[in-house]
Amino acid sequence: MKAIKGIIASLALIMVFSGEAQAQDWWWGITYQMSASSSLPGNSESNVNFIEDFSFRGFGIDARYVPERGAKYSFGFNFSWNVLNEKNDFGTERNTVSLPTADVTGTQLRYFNSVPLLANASYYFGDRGGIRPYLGVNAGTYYIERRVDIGVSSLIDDGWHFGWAPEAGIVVPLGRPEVAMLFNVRYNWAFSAGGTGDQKYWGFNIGIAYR
Amino acid sequence: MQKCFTGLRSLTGPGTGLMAAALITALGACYPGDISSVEETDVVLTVHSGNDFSGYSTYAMPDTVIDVCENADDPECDNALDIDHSYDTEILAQISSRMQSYGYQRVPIDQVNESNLPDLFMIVTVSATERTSATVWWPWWGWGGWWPGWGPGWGPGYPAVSVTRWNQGTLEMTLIDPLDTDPDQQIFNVQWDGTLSGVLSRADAPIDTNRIDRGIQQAFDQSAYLDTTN
Repeated sequence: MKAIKGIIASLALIMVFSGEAQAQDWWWGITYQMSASSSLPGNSESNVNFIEDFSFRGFGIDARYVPERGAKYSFGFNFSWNVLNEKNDFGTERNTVSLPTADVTGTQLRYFNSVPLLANASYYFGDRGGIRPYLGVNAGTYYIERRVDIGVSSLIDDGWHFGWAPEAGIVVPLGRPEVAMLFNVRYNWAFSAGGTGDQKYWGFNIGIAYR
Repeated sequence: MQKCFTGLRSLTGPGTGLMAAALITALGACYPGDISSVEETDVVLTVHSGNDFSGYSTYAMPDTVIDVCENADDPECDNALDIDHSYDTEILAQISSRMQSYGYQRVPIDQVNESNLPDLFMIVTVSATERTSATVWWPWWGWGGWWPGWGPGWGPGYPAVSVTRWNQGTLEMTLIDPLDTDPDQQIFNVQWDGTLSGVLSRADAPIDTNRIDRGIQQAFDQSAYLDTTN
């Protein structure tokens, strides 16, 4: 429910600015997002290895304001939804949950749902009209729910986290000045909150941007 | 999926909303993946008292797996299925083998008396019904009474994190110390308890002993603190 409220707030913000976007130099992007929470640099801690499998589920909406034509920087915001999951069969190494005086083993279905709502600032290299690599930084909040299903029981923790996400990407024009392909890699780092430790995962995003 | 993002399309207008809705549909749900067989619902739960087991060396175990609903006059047993006891020997042998591997010597149950108490009792029970209480069915009175004061009404006192509900088709192994009791509460303090939930979930079909074997092995594997040989 909290996630829905956050999404509503974010989308309302998008709607407020969408009319203005037609007249000024707002770039809009929609991205297909893939994620990996471990097996990549920066994710060696146990609490970030909640899901080890690579995820192909996710999408994002990105809005960036370029103050003037040809500017090398932009400001904006973005909203994403990333879903990671894995199944640990009975008898595998990761299918026992240990508590102080109890241990539970069973086939586990693990889920990690993350909804980042972030402000963004980016700096672009190259010239207007050409291929433009860029570096960016995002900061804002993450709504994260982690869930483990064992048998007919579920263990769930969820909550809001402050976080940030450095980002590197490239914008490739598609022959028209108002449409481009967008590729970026983002390292999502949600700080510990509510008894849940830092949550980190990589994002690999592909999308289309237009203005 | 609907639970997470109901109404998204109506909130975003025909442009972004349509694209987002299409993506959500294409990408799947908040909770993708699923259980694909009844075996995948099996759960092995072990709880322990936190006490040191190194002081224990002997145990006794009845020669049968006890059906908690057999002859029980309790509403929770009204829909219980009959238990097939043809696998009792195999189940008890496996438990005995694991206890031996952890350094416990079995005392024949017919040699147990007030002057020859083992350090522990291993009680193996099975239920083919869903239960929420323990004391009403505790079958001690049905086959024992080796210690003054025990009798009808006595039940196990589980560690704080133990389960309060047993699913249909559960095999349970309970270790109690006959000297660690609370006479006022009429309970035996449970030192260790292992439940194999779901292994008899197809109780009307032939029992899958592989699932039971796997569960027993797992229960002991994840309870290394029982090992007194180190």
